[in-house]
Amino acid sequence: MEKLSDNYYVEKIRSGKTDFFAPLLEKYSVQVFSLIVKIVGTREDAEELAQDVFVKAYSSLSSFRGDCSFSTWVYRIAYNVAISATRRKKTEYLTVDETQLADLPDDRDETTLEHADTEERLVHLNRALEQLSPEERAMIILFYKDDKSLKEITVITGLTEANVKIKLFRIRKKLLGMIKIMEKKRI
Amino acid sequence: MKTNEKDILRSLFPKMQNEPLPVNFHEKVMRKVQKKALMRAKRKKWEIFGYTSGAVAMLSCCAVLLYLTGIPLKIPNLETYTWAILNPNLAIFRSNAFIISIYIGALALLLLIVDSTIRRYMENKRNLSRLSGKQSYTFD
Repeated sequence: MEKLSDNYYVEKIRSGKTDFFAPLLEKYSVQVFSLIVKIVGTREDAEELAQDVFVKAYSSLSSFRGDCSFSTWVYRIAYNVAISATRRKKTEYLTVDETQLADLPDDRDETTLEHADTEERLVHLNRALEQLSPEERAMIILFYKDDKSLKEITVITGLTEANVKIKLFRIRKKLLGMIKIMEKKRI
Repeated sequence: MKTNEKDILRSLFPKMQNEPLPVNFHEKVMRKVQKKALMRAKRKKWEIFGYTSGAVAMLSCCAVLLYLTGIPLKIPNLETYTWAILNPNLAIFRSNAFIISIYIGALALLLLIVDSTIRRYMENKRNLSRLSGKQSYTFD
C-alpha cells in the first residue's frame, strides 16, 4: 500500500474525517509511549499520558501550521505533557554524586567501558538513565535513541540550539561517568 | 584505539528496545478522539444556533421598528427613511417598549459574540497551559 505523508492525513482530519487519525496514531504511538515511559518511569502513568498526548494532538491540530514536521510537533506535546506530569508529582530523583564522577580519571575509564559487554552496558545505561532528571533523560533519548536533530530538539524542548548542545554534552559526560562507576563497582 | 564517548552512546541507544504498547491502546485513543470530535460537532451546532437566534432577534427588532414607524414602509425613499429613523419626534421613538426591544436584541447578539470569544480564548489557553505552560504549538 502506498504510504502517504503526514500532511495528507492532517488535512483529511482537518476536513472532519476523524478516522484518518488512526494511521498517524499507529505511526508514532510506540516512540511517543517509549519516550513517556522513560520520562515518567512507570508504564501505568505513561499510558494515561500517552493517550492524553494524542487526544491533545487531535484537539490542537488546527494550530499545527506545518512549520515543522508532524512528528516533531507530536514529540513536543509528549515532552511537555510528560515533564509537566513529573513536576506535578514532584518526584524526587536520585542525584549523582558529582565529586565521585570528577574523581574518576578519563583515560582509565575508556578502557573500563571497552571491556564491558553490550548487554551489561545496556543494563548500566538504563540504571544510569533512571538517575538523570526527566528533562535530561528526555533530551538524551531524543538525540541518541530517536535520532532527532539538534534543531528538532530545540523545537521539542523550547531551548536554544546552543543550550541543547551544552546540555547534551553535560548529560553525556554524566551518563558515561555513571556507567563507568557502575562498571567499576560491578553493580 | 580509544572508543569515542559519543560512539559508545550511539551504539548503545539504538539497542534499547521500545516499550510495547499497552493492550488496546489504539482503540482507547481512537474512542477518545471520536468522542472529542462528536462533542466539537455538537458545540459547533449550538454555536451556529446561538448566532442564528441572535441574528433573528436583531432582525425581529428591525422588523418591529419598520412596522411601528410606518412612514418608511409606505414611502420607500432613502431620504424619507433616514429622516424617519432619525426623527426623534416620531411616536415610536417615544415608546419605551421599542427601545427596550432594540437593547435586548443588541445585548443578546453582543453576549453571544462575547461568550463565543471568551470560550474560544479559554479553551485555547487551557489546552496550551495544560500541555506546555506558556509554550504554544503554533511554531510562529
